[in-house]
Amino acid sequence: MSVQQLFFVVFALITIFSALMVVSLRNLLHSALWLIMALLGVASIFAILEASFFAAVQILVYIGAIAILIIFAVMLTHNIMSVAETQTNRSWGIALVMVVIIFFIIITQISTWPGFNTRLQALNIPGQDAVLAFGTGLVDPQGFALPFETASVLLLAALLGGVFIAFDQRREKKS
Amino acid sequence: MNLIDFLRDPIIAISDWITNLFSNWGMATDWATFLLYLIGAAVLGISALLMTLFFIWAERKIIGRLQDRVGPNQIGPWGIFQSVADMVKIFIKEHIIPTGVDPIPYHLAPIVLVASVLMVWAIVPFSNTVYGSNLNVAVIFLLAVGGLGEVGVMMAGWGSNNKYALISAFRASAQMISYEVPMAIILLIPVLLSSSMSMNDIVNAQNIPYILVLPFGALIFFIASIAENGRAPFDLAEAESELVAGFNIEYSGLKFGMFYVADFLRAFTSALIFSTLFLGGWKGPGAEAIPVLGAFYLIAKSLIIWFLGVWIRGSFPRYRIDQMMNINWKFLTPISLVLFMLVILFSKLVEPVGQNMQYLVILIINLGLFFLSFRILNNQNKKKVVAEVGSRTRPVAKPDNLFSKDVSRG
Repeated sequence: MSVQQLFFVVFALITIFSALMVVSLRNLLHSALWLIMALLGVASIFAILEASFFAAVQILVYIGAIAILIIFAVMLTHNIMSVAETQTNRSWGIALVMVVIIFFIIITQISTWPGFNTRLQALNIPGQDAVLAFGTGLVDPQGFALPFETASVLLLAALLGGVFIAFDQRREKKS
Repeated sequence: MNLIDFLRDPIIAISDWITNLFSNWGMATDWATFLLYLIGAAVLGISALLMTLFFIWAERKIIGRLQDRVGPNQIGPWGIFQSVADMVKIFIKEHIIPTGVDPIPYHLAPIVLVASVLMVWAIVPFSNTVYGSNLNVAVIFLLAVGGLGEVGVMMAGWGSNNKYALISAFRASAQMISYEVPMAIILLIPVLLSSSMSMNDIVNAQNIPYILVLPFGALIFFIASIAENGRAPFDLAEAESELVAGFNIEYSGLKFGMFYVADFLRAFTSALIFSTLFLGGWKGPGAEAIPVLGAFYLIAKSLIIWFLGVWIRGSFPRYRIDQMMNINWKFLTPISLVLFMLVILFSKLVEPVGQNMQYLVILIINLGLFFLSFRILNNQNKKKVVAEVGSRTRPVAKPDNLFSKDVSRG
């Protein structure tokens, strides 16, 4: 076993274990901290795959922004921290059944796709050029410009929606 | 290999020697590389932590001088071994764990915080041959690691089970998140000018240090990095008068020492980053032929920037939390956005003319924006009505002279 494979196994195990802890712990803040651990594990796997851009963005966006936001939300929500709260509601049984069914449907569908069994080729672009290739791929009309811009419009819509919801309605009534 | 060659680049010579040693032992190449990186990381980390001892002493001494005190002066010449004594004391101190702490976050927080500072050292090029990793996304990595520091602060604040620690952690992470915004925007400008996100390429592209091209950008980055480090005048997280001691209030012994070390090390680390990005890093006369000189130049430049930070720390009073937020969201963020957009626009417009012309235009934009924003701030300051507390005729410390009695003082 090479060093790389050993590291992959270690980080994959860490990620899976932390993901299990996220959904099974009673204390919500501990769940949030384990979520950070799971995201770090995913970032490490990106780093092993030499996708350093994704590794850095994974840490920057998911840990630096989203996980911190989740922690703030958890801390500022009233009474959510008590251990007496259960994390399941009455319909957990039917949800489990549905999830298992959907999981099998997805797996069977994906396995019929011809790309499923092909071995991926390593991208032989050294150093800085990998990021350049990624960047041009995102904004090139021949590449992924359309999905990229669509995602930006979606995020803008979400931003406007957030502002609208948080807008002070009393001020409207006054005028 | 003779001595001169060794002295020219000792780090690479030693690492070559170790690689040879490992391959002579019959080790596989990837394991040998792995071990070599491990040794390098350990040496770099330990030397960074040991350097902190010196920085703590120097900072206490300099601030003592600035505030008309003596500073540490008992142990060794000029008290230079004071922090060694402090370190030994902190090692043998009792480690008190308060009841009711959340154990895992509480014990992990100091480690995460120190690690988040040390990880930055992995991407700093110390000379043209010695660097931890020539990461092609070093600039994003820098910001991402800052995010890990916030996690450490939150863990400390939450885990301590103390309301002052929690409030302080909220303040500290709000401050760090806010000041990351102008910092990230300004970071994009060196990336644009050198068309690379790797620290080595950014240093190599600086034929002229970027501070001469981007003086205003460098100033914004400097202010934001002081705030990001949570040092005076932005040390709201440890405002003793309001919050007792900050998010590390429940820590004692070695764990408090870790927070202390992280604090002082971060000051020098951000100076290191500043000099890499804006002062040309290891560049200097003869640095390419003799790599050791490069490391020397980098440390010297960083020490100057670090001294500026200490100087500011020793002379400015602390901002209130609303002032801190206003400085960021109403001044630094908009002005850095404007600067960034103008720089993109005009540097693209004059790109065909040549690089020197491009630099000149960017410099003019910088200076223009600086004076404009300065004027606007001054005008706003004049409009502000400041309520006077106390009276104009206040008692003076020195007794009045009998013969030349100053009537105006009353």
